[in-house]
Amino acid sequence: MARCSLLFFRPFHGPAGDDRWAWRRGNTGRTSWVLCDGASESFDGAGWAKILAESLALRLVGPSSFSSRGYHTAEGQKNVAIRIDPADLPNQGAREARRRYRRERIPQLASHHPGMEWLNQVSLARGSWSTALAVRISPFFSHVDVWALGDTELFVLDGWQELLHLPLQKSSDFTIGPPLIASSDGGTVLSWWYRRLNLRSLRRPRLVLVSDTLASYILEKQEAGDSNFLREILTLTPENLACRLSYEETTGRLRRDDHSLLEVIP
Amino acid sequence: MNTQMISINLFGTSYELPVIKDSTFESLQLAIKEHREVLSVDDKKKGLFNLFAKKESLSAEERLQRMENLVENYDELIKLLRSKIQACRRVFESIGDGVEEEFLKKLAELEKLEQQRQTLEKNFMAAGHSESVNFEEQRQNIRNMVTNLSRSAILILKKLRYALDALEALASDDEKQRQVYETLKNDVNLYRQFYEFNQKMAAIQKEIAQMTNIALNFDSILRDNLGPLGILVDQIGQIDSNLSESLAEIEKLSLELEKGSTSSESLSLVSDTLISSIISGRMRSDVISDILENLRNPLSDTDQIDFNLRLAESVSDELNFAALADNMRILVRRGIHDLELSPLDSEALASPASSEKPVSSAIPGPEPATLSMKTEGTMTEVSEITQIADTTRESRTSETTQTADKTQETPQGQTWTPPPPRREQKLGRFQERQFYSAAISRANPTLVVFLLDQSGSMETPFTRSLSRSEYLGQVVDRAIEELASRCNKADGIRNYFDIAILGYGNQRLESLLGITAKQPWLPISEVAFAPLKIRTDEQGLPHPQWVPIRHEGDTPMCAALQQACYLVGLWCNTHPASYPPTVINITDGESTDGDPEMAAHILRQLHTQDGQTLFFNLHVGDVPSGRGEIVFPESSVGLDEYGALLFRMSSPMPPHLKEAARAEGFRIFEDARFFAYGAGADLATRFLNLGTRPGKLV
Repeated sequence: MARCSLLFFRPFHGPAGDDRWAWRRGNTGRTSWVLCDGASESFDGAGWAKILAESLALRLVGPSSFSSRGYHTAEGQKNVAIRIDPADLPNQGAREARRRYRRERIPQLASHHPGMEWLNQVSLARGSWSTALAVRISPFFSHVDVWALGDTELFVLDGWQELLHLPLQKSSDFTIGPPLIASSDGGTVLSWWYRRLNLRSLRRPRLVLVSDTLASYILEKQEAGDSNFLREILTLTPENLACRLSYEETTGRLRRDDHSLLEVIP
Repeated sequence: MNTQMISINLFGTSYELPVIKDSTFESLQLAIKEHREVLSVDDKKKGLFNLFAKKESLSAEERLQRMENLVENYDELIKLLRSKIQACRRVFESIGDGVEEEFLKKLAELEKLEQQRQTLEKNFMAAGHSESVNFEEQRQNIRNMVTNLSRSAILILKKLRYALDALEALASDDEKQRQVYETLKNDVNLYRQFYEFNQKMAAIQKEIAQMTNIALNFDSILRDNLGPLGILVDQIGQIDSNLSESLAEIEKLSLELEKGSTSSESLSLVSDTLISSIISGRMRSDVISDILENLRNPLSDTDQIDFNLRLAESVSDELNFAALADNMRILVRRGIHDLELSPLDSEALASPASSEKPVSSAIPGPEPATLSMKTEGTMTEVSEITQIADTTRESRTSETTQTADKTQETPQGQTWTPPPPRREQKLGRFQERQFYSAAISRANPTLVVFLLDQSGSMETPFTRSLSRSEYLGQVVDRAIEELASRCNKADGIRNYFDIAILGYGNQRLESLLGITAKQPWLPISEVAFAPLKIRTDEQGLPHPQWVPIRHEGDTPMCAALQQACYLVGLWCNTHPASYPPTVINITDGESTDGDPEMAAHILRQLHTQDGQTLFFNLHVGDVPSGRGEIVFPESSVGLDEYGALLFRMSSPMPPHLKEAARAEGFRIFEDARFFAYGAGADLATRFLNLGTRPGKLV
């Protein structure tokens, strides 16, 4: 089973931040790892990101519209891949997340800030937003499915050598207004970025899921010729990584924001 | 160099071979051994239970000297070896030649012997004694001798060859050693340079430490030698006493005003002193707080002038000595200059436009204060500001340049302009940094002030069912609602915004949020908590209302702007690092209490470190020229007189609002001002929506 070797969260607001990711292991041996980044402008970005991550992780490995019989064989996987539209899976997850958010979270939020119920109603009607990056690793680590919506970035490494990053290719692609998944979006079909990556040819694959500001900074560094920064931060302990990023923020090179990093080793 | 030689006699020839391990060689080896022993003293050589440890370790200087001597000895030894090897090589080559010569000589002799043997054998055969003498043995002996001769020669040559190979190898090793010691030599040279550099640095460090010590104790030195620093404190006290007098004066005038016993000239003076107090309060606070802070904590001065920041920028990646030198020049020039200016009683203000009517304010008045006016002081200040403007004009943004130029256009001709913040002056940051870029946070919120015209003309229908005052009141309500919902998070309301709403009309100026003297603005959480009432729309969503609907009387815009100046000045004092305040004036008619341009000019000059106050003007309704809606114009060309006045009063659009306006589909020119003239309902909504979109919330 794939394992998580580094888990780093550094929220800008609040004491926590480790609730914006989720992982699940399915019956067939697949594992899913999801990192969501709630928009700080929204009312309940962190809460929505948590529920969205959990729902997506569950949906990507859980029971779906196709039979999982024979999925553990290569032939079975091939058949399944042909029969289903992979983009539909995270949409199912997002729909479930919205239902769960309405059921579990909104009643909690509607009652807080006594005396300002109008504000809660308005804020809840506006909704909350989050990005999402989900990876699903096949039972025998032969391939990984990647779904992304927004600017949370995946770096794929073989050992310490970075092979590719996606879905955004360069630091300038990180804009102020990335696509977001809304908690109150009624029935909108989101167009997810999807790709299947072959892991067979990699000796020591590593998947690194990184939130937008940090990812953009890593790419900036790479574009400036410093290709060791990602390797450097992956070798640090979370405490040292926090110090390192604080230093970068203090010098003004790294924008102050939430920073999340999740390293998964199949 | 005297080389000892040893003679070798071969085949009758004497060869002189150099003695490799001669006295020079041995003395050099001894010296090297001694240096190495001295240099390689470590813990293992300390002796039994440290009883016989070396008492003193080498100093850095001695160590370096030893290393240099060692390298020199090695160098000499290698040179000696090389010369001996070369000499040996030459001898071996001579020996090779000698062996060849000897071989050929012996071979010739053997050949001669063989010829003699053959002749003898023939003679014996001819004499018929072939059987009596057997020459075969002699022939065999000669053959053996030739063989032995050849083998001997080959052996000698082989041995010579080995010797030469050995010498080659030795030479090769020698070369490697030479390279090693060459490196060592360079290293030692570097160590020597490093050592000397450290020595120099230590000396400079010592000098700087002395300088730091002097700086830290400078006040006591001054106290001891030049008299107490109380002079400065006295000056501050003097300013405060002036302030008290001014307070009393204003209080008196206010009382007279309330009693209606004052003349119009006195009212004009009230207006003047109002402006004066705002500006003097700002300046006094700027300078006095700096002085006091510097006196209290000398180190804080470096924070105040942001030198650390520049230092960090210069030092972090590479040392930028030029920038540091520039910083220091600016610091010295501005720092000393500022201290010279510190007696604030030399400042004076030009008179703003006089009020035509008395304005009864329902709002607690500004902290009244006047400064004694001295024309000379004014001129000094103005010339100084002009100097700053001259030095910064080239690199400032076009908007700022336009603002600076506009200073010259003010109706009074000779106007007082508040200087940029002191820390900005000192670093020249007005020229360099990008304004309106501060992130809005709970620690550094921003201020949004709405100035709402509530004159009688606002009763005019604006939409099918709503008057101007009703519609614009709703628009302001929705703008505040939007600000509040942006601040509302699941973990609580974050006070990113302070809000003030001033309604003006019917000779009244009123805070529509019920502000008090102690708190002229309210944080957004308190605003959100206390709407007048809450309406519900068709979808069942609540919409609070803060703005009461009123429309009567005339338009005391000057009074409103003066109150805004007071409020903004006070806010800037308490929020120096924040995104600058935004003041949005919503009106449908001309000011009826005088020319508001001076007050607008002063309002725009009030600033935080992130830039000057943004003053936006939204004019609704019909325009006399009948040109229809004009939004975000870049010049006053084509506008009527009142439109041109509002244009001049409005701030240039900051870059992020330009981008936002372009994203909204507006055509924005580089010099556009945040101003709409003759706006209809839709444009008014969009204008306010854009105007209440300050920078990034974090």
